Amino acid sequence: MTYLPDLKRQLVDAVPAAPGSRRGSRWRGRGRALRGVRLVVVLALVLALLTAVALAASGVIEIGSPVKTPSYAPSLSTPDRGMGAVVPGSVRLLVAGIPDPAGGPPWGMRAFKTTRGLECVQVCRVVDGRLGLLGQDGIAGDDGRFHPLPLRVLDQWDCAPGDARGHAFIAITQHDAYASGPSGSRRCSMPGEHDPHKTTRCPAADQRLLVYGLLGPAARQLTYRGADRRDRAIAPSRPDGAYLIVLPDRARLGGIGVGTLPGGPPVRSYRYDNGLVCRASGPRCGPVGYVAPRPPHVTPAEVRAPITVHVSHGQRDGVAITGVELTFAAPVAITNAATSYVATAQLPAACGGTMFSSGSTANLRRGARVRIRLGVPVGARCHGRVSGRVELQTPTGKPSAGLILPPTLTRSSSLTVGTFSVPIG
Amino acid sequence: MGRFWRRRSDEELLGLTGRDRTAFGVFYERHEPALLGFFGRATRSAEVAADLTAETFAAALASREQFDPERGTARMWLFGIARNVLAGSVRRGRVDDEARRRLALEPLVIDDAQLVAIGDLIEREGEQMVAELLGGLPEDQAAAVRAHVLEDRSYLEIARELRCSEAVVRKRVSRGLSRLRRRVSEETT
Repeated sequence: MTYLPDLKRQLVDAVPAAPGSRRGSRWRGRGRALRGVRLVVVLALVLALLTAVALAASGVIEIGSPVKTPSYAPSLSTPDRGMGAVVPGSVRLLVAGIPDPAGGPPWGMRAFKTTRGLECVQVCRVVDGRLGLLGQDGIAGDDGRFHPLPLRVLDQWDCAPGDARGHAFIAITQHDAYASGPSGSRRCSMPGEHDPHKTTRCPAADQRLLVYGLLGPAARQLTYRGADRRDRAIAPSRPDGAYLIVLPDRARLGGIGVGTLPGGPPVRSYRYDNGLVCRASGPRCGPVGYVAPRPPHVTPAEVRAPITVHVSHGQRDGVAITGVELTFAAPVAITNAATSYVATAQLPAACGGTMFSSGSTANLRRGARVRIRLGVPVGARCHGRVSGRVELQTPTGKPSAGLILPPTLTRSSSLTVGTFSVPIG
Repeated sequence: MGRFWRRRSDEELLGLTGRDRTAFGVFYERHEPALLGFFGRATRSAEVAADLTAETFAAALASREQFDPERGTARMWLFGIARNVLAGSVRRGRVDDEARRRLALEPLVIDDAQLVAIGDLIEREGEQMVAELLGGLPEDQAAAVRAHVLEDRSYLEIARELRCSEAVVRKRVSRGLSRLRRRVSEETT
């Protein structure tokens, strides 16, 4: 009887690889013979694997055209703008071989880095090492083929800024996925969706609960409650702490939860290398291994800059729009997606007092001209002054708890660049 | 486990590991509870104890060629590695995993039932160790140490029960603890 049978198995399996196993002259001849037998077994396994791959690629699952990129997808081609461009060589399959409850190709998760310091993750079915959607559940005319997933097909919440060491912390619970793979563009209607153009409902039995994320380099173990209501433990893959859980979604509610750490069912707990165990439904705990990015060394006075305000009036889709354009010389350079200049404006109380905000979305050298445009919808009777401020927001401190959307992953520190107040109406 | 393996000494098992991987599995089974207990007493955590045990066995497997029977038993050699792993982990503030990485071992996955079982083992090993240690003391010192240290009773209370002065109880506890310290020190160096 052993307390840790998995450890015993791994140690015994590691014996041939352990230094010193080739020593010991008395057994050398026999050792060679045994290694020869093992080599035949390994070759047979490789041949079997290659046969399976060939079948998957050419016969069992037909490969279709790549998934169409939606209009809202990031370009991922401009290194210094938006989410940046994909860093060459950074695309990697972090998790593979996660079975689907109904069988078929396994699920997997890949990740890549962008030139603006973001880490993005994608989850889908895996065939021949590639991620893609299956032609079912209203995807690709239900053609039954495998459609490779381009890197650009991702949502904003699939990316988060890395910490000082480049490690991202992401936790996503997705209820609106199907056995085909997650997609916002399917021909059948999902729970809660009321699209008159969609006449059929997506098959309820194919609805999947996807729970995935990056727990960081110090993550050791994650425990979740399986479909059979029994707890299971998995080891997040290193060094990202990547995990992926695929379950049938009995709740069938739809929706998505996004955060930095697992925040509830089906995740029960997660454990770090230092022994710290965090309950997913408990008080805030972790993340261990997070290293706060160093904020720029500037004083509040150094960030101040004169702001020029220009007001224009126009219409968009029949609605009167007042454009407030702010320009200033960047007092501090912007080098990543987690840092930006953000302008916030408030309508006069007579117009409802609504707040509006917008920010810079590109890298900027110090002294570069920054232009932020706020489109303020105002009615004909709205008169008064729009006032607001421009701030430099930089990530600092600990990652935020709860459900938030990257790239505002970390609590931000704000330094005021300037304020403004202009009449409208 | 077959009779052949049960009859092999620890030293023989280490020597046979290069020839048959089963040998190291038998060696592992033989010493796993003692190592878990050793680390459990040191860390008061079943999970950390399991991690330290894994690292110790991985280090032992990787360096088994360095074992020299003329310098001591295989058990002493294994616990020497365990002490080094524990000291290194305390120094760095985290459990070492260098040996496991060298052998490309996967992170250890432990479920709740295993943790409970390891926790029970640590408790049993702890009680057994206490019994053994106190058994090596004169009866009056053992009684005083047990009452004051383990049962957390005051000197005055113990003195009333033993019908002696409080100073005598203090002296018995002090002498008993000194003797225990010497014994533990001798065993672990």
